[in-house]
Amino acid sequence: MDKKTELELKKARLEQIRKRKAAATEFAATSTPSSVNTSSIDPEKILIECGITTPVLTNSNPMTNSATSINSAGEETNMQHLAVPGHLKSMIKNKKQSKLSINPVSTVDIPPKENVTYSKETQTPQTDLIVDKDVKPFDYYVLHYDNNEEDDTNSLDAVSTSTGGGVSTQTKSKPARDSQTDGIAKLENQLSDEIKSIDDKIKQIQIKEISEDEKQKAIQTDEFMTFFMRNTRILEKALDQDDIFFEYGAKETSEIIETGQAFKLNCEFHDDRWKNRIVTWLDWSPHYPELLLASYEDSSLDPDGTALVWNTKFKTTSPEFVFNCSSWVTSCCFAKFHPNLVIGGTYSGQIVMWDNRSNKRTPVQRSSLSASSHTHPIYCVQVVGSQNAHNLISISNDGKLCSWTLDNMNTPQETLELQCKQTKQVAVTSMAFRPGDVNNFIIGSEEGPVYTATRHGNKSGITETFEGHFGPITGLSCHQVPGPIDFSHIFLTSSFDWTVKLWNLKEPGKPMYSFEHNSDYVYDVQWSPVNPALFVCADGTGRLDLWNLINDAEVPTASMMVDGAPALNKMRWTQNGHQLAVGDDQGKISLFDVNEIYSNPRQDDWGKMVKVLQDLKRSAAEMEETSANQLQNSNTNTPNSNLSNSSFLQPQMTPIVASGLPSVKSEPNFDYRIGANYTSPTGSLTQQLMSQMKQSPQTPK
Amino acid sequence: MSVSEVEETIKRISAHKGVMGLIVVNSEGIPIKTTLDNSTTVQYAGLLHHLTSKARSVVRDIDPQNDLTFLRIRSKKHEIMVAPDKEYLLIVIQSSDTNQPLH
Repeated sequence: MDKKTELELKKARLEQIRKRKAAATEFAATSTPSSVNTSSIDPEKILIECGITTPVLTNSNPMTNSATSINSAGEETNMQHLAVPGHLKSMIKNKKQSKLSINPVSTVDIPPKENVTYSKETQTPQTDLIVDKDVKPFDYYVLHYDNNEEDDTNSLDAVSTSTGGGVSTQTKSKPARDSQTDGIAKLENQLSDEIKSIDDKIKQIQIKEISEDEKQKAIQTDEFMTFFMRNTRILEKALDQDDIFFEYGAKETSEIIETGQAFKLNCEFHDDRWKNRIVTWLDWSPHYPELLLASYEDSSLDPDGTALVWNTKFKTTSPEFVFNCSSWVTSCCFAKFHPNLVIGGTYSGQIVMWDNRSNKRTPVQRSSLSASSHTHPIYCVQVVGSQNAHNLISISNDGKLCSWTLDNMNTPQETLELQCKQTKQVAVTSMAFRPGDVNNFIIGSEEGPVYTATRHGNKSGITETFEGHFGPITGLSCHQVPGPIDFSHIFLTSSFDWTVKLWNLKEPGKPMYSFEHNSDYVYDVQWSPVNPALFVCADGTGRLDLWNLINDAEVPTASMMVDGAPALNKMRWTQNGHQLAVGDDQGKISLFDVNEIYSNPRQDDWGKMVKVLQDLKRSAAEMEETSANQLQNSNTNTPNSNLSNSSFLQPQMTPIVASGLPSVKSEPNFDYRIGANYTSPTGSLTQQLMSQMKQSPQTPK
Repeated sequence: MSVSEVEETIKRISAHKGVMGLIVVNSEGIPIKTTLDNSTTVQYAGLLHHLTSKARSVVRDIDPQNDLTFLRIRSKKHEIMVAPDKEYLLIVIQSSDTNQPLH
């Protein structure tokens, strides 16, 4: 039954289809001619009239093919269009046959588009999953296109958004970004590795802590000491260096540059450890002009003898070298031809030698304390001679001269007893060799006289006596300015008798001139090493006097009171004569810049100096005459009136000598230190002398 | 030269105007002597030990016969001075502007 009904239904459908087909053919036969004619004839006509075969027609060929293929799908709408190609086909066939010809082939070489491919798979592995298969070829093309023509972003965006191509935009820019990010990542990795390694190392260091005992042990090693000594010195110099970032234009300098001032304080050297210890001696290094050697008196706290080397170049607050020995150092000097050696004469009579190459502060060599060498304080040490033949000369307070070779300091090479009048020991306080002379020298004594002496020859020992001073000689300076005229025969002495005297070696007996401007002991006098007419003297009131004999012989050219008014004990000029180191009784050394107006010589100064010396000689002779006359008249005059005169020759001082100085003379080992509590238990000898000197004008003759 | 003198010298340098601290470091970078607190010392010692060895290698790379003798680092706030030796380093830190009060 079912089958029958099914068959019937099918038959009915077939009939329906047949009816439809019939209706369709009828409709096509009736309706198409009008529509086709209107649509197809018009172009035909136009074309024929023009006689042109339009490319549109040839192009339409594929269209027809496609249309026929579509036709097979059995669409009604397409069926309608089929009629049109039918007409066209016949027309084209006709035209093709008539218009066949051979054309020269023009070849156009179009380079294939560079196929910029990148494997999506490797770089963006997930794109395949996301991109729809249907869209893929289209998407691919778009990607191709856009890769080359970046401007066309819109289409890309459109596509990418529509087809899930968000990935594609990413893929496009990813390669460049990737390379950058890769590099950064690599660097980051490297850096982190480095930081890690450094951290590890720091941790290691932190871990490797050593105990206090080990540290102490390390410090006590010689190696450490050498390192420490050397490098702390370097560092201190570096610390004291001037600010290299100083800008001259940045600030207004508040300092007023004073011109015309004779002395300008450059720097001071002192240390609390050596406070209130008199500076006993000063010496500049001949090798390193900036090094200044100073010896200091002993103190109750620290009985050791001390010599320090200060550095004026770096102005360090601490000494460059510190040297010690068992007895206090009364005199010292640099060994002229050995840059590393420093020699000291001590109170005990021992000569000591230090070496700055060793780390020890104690002497490397010392003389034996025996009768063969010195047994009294040594107030003079000096190296004389030449590079190849030089000796160290030392004279002790008992008048014994020893010469040494620096290689063997145990025993002296030569000894010489300096005696006046064959028997009496000379208590030598100062010594000076004439420039360039190793044989003849001048010594100043405690008694007051100055002697010349020779080391060798028939008449070795004291040769001449220069009487004039009435107190111990404190300073002695030979004229040693090189120049067109030689003045090496004149020398200066300073004394406790408040005077400085000028002498001529050729005229023993009387001083050429006496400078009596000071009102205290004159502790030192020094000729300038460059200016022939210039010398400086220092006294116990803290006054520095600069004398220029060409300017004036009666008053100093310039004077200065040192701050704090300490007694100035020793002075030394620098080699260039522009600076002056002054040591006082407070243990302080001041370095003064001497104004160039005063320190530098003029060309005609030597000639003028000759004239000055002649004038001095003449005036001295005149004064002698007048004083002789005065002596004749002195029976009528009181000594007070004589003293109140501003005469500057000996008569003024005679009463002091009579009353005060015999006690000095009786003491062969006179200690000439300032304020030394040596002879008198109640007061120092200097104080005694001082009071005597102050009373002197009142004491009757 | 005794230990007391070492102490004395350290005291003297520390008292110097502008000096903030002094450190002695051995060849392994371990601080032996210091005037600073522990953490600062360790930091300075470690870092400057490295820097000094680096600086030394720079000097030697340029000229094998040459050697580093001193290292000064000037910064806005400080000046660090390093005196290197075979066995030890001496480091001193100084305030750059010595006119200004420290710290």
